[in-house]
Amino acid sequence: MSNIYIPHKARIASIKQETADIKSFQFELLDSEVRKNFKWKSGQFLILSVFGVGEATFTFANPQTRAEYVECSIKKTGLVTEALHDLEVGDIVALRGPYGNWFPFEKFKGQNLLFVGGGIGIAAIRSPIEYSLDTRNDFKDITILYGGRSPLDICYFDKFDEWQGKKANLVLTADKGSEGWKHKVGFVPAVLKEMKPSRDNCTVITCGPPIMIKFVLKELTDLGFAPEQIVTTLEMKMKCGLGKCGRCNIQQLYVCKDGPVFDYAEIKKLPDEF
Amino acid sequence: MQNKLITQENLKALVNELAASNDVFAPKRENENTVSFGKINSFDEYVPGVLLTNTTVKDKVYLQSEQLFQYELKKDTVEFKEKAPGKEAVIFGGRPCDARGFDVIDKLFNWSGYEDGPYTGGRKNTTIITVSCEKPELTCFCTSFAGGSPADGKGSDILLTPVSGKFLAEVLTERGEKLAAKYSKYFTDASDAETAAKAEFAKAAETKITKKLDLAAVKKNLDSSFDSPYWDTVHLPCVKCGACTYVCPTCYCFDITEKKFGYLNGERNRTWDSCMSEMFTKMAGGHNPRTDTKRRFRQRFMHKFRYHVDNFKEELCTGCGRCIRRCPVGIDIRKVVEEAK
Amino acid sequence: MEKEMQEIAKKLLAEKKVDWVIGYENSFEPGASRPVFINKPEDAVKLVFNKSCVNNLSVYLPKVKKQKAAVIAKGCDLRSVREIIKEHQILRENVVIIGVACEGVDSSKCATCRENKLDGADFTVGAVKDLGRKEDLSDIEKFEKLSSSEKEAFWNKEFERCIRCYACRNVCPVCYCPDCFANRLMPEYLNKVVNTAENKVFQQIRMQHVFGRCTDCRACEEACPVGIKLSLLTKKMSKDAKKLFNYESGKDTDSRPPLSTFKVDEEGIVEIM
Repeated sequence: MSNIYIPHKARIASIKQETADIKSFQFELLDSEVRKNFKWKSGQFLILSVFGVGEATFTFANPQTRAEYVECSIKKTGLVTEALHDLEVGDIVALRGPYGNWFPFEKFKGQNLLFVGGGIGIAAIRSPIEYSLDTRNDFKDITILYGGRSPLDICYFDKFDEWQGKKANLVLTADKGSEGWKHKVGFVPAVLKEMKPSRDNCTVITCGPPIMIKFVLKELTDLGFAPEQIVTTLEMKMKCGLGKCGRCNIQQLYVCKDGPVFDYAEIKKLPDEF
Repeated sequence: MQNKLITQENLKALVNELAASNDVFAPKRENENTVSFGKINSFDEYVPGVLLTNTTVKDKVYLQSEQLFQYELKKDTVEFKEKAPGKEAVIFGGRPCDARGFDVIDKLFNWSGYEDGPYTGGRKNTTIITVSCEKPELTCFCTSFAGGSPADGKGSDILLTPVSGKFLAEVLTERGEKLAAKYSKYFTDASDAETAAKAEFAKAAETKITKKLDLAAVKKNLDSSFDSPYWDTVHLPCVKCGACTYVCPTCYCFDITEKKFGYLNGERNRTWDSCMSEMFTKMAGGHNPRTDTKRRFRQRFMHKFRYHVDNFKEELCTGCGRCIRRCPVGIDIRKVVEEAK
Repeated sequence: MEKEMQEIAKKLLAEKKVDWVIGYENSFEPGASRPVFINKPEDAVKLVFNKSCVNNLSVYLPKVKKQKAAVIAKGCDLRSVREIIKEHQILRENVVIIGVACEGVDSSKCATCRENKLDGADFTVGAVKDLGRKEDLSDIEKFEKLSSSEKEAFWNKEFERCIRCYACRNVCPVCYCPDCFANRLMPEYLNKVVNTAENKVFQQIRMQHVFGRCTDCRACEEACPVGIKLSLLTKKMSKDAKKLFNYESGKDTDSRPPLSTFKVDEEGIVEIM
């Protein structure tokens, strides 16, 4: 008998304020045995505990190739995320996981990769971006399109040099520009349309708010991308992460167990209940 | 194990002896119109005639609120304390549909590569002695399900069936055998005639069940009716309380929440949750994939008779009819799934 | 009587005066009924009325507020209809009230029925008889005499059984808040853990919220799957509302509920400070 709900103890090793409402955290697992055995893959998620408040679900922001800490970028949206934002370096939290499936990178080998991220969705695709950059020779062109509501809502400025240094083509956009903003202005789908990425030998990994995803899918379809070429991660309210608590289902599929990574061909078969 | 026989007097003595050293839960009167599974100290507290207790027996193993662990924050670490395993328990006087509920949710709690210790721990500690039903109610529909019967032993450790003034005791599991061996003084061996009489009993009881669902047809209809306008109106009388889900022997959905004792300590709890509640799928930030009552209503029936069948090859229902009986507005699950198209 | 009711419903639907008729239909066993929503004239024949028609159908009215609905209402249900009209949850012109002359249904409230008259109904089915029943407050008076610890012991035993399914809240015609305190997470008023203490907190707050609005219709008690004696509370509240504020919920559609008004000197309340 095992209590699968007891999390691993962890300490906050660093906190970085990314934007007004997004912080990036590095968590260090306290138990060295656990730390050694705690392995995840890009796309999987974990459940974080803030004591006195509760649990919430986040994706790993860093890939397995940079696994010194567990990293999450977290936007203030609810009870647990607000409490997390109040914590300081050294504070004790806990986490359990990893749960769910991952991006099938073995299928993407030898292809061009296009990452399309919006808002806090960037947290979910930073991990596959960095994974692909760390295994750079497996892929051809890597393009990243990332947009936020305003220049002030863009995370990871400190990472962009490295990404570009590893020959990723980075396109930034803001829904509304501001003085000194040298990048694109406009919604992600509109910029995508303008970029006209070629569908040949290309896989798209996208994550962002539902409305952005909806129009990104439309643009990609218009550009001739097949549903199988588009991969995304779905977000649902989750409590257990273990396929038991019964709430993250879309029909018979449980996002925590059968997802969160789905390709658009699979999603198209599902009803609009996510 | 060979079928046993137990007399009314010996059954009483057995239950009394069990109650002296274990937690024995049996249908017990709460007030003039409520009978639920409660802890009994003697056989006399047991209410034998009741088929449908007000609440489900599942809460004796799968507690409505269960502490997963306690925590205490220390300097630079946190300490967890798990509650001690509960006493050996016996559930006595439940019905085949109650016991079958455990069989259904056992699979869920062992599913997806994770054994749910807080559930399975209690489950392994519990012996289930079930009593067959002689006179099914109008809400009963257990025979709709594969092997379902008012005298079916699935999920039970020992099944008692009234036979010629005594009870035929079918000992069905290792746990049952352990109990029967420990208290062998109360049992005698049953004859073939008595075993045959049980089969007769089962047949007679089964014919008294007036409603049988064609589950293959139900599944087929639900498979194709997700977007049907049927769901636009069928949910209207539903008031979206959680009574149906909380009295159900198979509804297993839960929430995990925290309760603070002080600044540094508290407990993490698991509590039953209901798909009928708006909060069930509402995410931080306000997005809710099942925004309206129609979607929540549809989810309950789809889950029970379609999604769960896809995943587990059996329905998430045992046909006890409690949800029909306890629904404040008389929603009949049989009618809802049968008419879906 | 049923025939008459069906004819009215059929006509209302056929003439498109209403989108829905909310009434009762036969249920799974002989003599049992359940609420039904009817939107086709030909389905009006489903409507029944008998002793099993306990449900207070006014609970549905705020939910169809953008459409027009006719509702079958007993005298006691009419009090709730008036109360929710008063509270602006429905517009009177969107509701057609089909009052039925009731001589009692299978409910604890009927022995002391105070109101089977159908004042304000658009249609009246059957003839209203004076049942000669009187209000009986002896159970409340008896309960009031118990000591605090006896009262507490009683309620602890009742609320130990509560499974917090919220059926009491969801069938209540005046519990229409779209965002109930019991669901709130920020702040969290009520922990999800189900135990006697939390269960009592839930019902205490709910009862405070419906004080002076509750018509003692007993829908909550009828709905409770574990038979909690909620009528002791609702009856006590209506007694107190009468005594303290000379107010009767659902008597009319224009007076103000006592807790939504303020008077420096309330005649019914003696200040002891």
